[in-house]
Amino acid sequence: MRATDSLIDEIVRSSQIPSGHGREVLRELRSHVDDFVLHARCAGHPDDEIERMVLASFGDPQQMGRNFAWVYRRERAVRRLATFSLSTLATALLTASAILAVQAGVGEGFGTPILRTIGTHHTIIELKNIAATVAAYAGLLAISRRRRLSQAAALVALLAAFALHVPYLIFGIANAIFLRLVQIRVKPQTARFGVVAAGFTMLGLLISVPSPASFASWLVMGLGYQMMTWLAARTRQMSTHLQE
Amino acid sequence: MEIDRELLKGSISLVLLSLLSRGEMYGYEIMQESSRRSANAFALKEGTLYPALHQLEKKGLIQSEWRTGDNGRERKYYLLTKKGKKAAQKYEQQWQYLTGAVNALLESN
Repeated sequence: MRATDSLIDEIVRSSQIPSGHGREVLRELRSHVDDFVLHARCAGHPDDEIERMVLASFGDPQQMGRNFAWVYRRERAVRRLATFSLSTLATALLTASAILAVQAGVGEGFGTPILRTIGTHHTIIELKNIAATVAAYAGLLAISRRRRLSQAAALVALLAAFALHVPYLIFGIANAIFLRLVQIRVKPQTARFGVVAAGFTMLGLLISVPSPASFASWLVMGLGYQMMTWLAARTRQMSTHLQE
Repeated sequence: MEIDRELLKGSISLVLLSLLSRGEMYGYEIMQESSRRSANAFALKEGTLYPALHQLEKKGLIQSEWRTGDNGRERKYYLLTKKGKKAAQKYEQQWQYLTGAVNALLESN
């Protein structure tokens, strides 16, 4: 009975409950359908009619999925927060690695040894700035989904950023808003890279000692942050797909 | 008589606990028994029954175990826990009190 199998699959899929509970529900509903079919056959109903009876008895699979989703709401919330935190952490690590690696390479080109580029206090500041920006940006993305849990996830992200230090939190939020605005207002990908790179280069010229090395460092940072927006969107997509 | 879903919702835990207080049962059996014992008044549907059973299990009022029957078919049996037995008694008392109060109110009209 393929229709009843699809019905059960749809119930479990639409409930979005964690996989362990999902498998249990699947197994139980299949066992229930077997009982239903056995009973109906004994009562003399033909198979095509039994299939219709099962579908009618179960009713709307989406509604049943929602009922299960409500029962397992805490488990779903924990899983979503864990996925959100892990994907944010992964994005932060990848972004920081990419920015620091390219900056070290550029520094080498300007005659600065790699260890001097990445082994300074400045690197720690940069790492904290990246972490704060990624957390705030992921929070903004979550809020845009307009779900209560997403707001909670955003709050967690902001608190994580806050734990770093207030100046990093301010930098992170301002940076995330700038990056998000670019994503929303500027549609072509190359133009986005151009706007973000230009923005960071100008900021670098304003707040640091103007030099080719500093100019290149800020340019790399801008490009890295723009890459981060792409990474954050992909990891969010991946985590949503995994949850479904 | 078809009972309004909202009215049914409030009594589903009591119905399930009451049925299970007479012995362990699996889902399909609960549906059949609730219908039979209530003269078809409680025609529980799968969409209500299974989420309610899982909710009661999460609250620790019932527990479940998979068992394989003689015909090799697996079924998930539900049974009351100690906490569930106490809850069943409490719910029943509350229900008697509530229905008594509602009846008194209706008769006074």
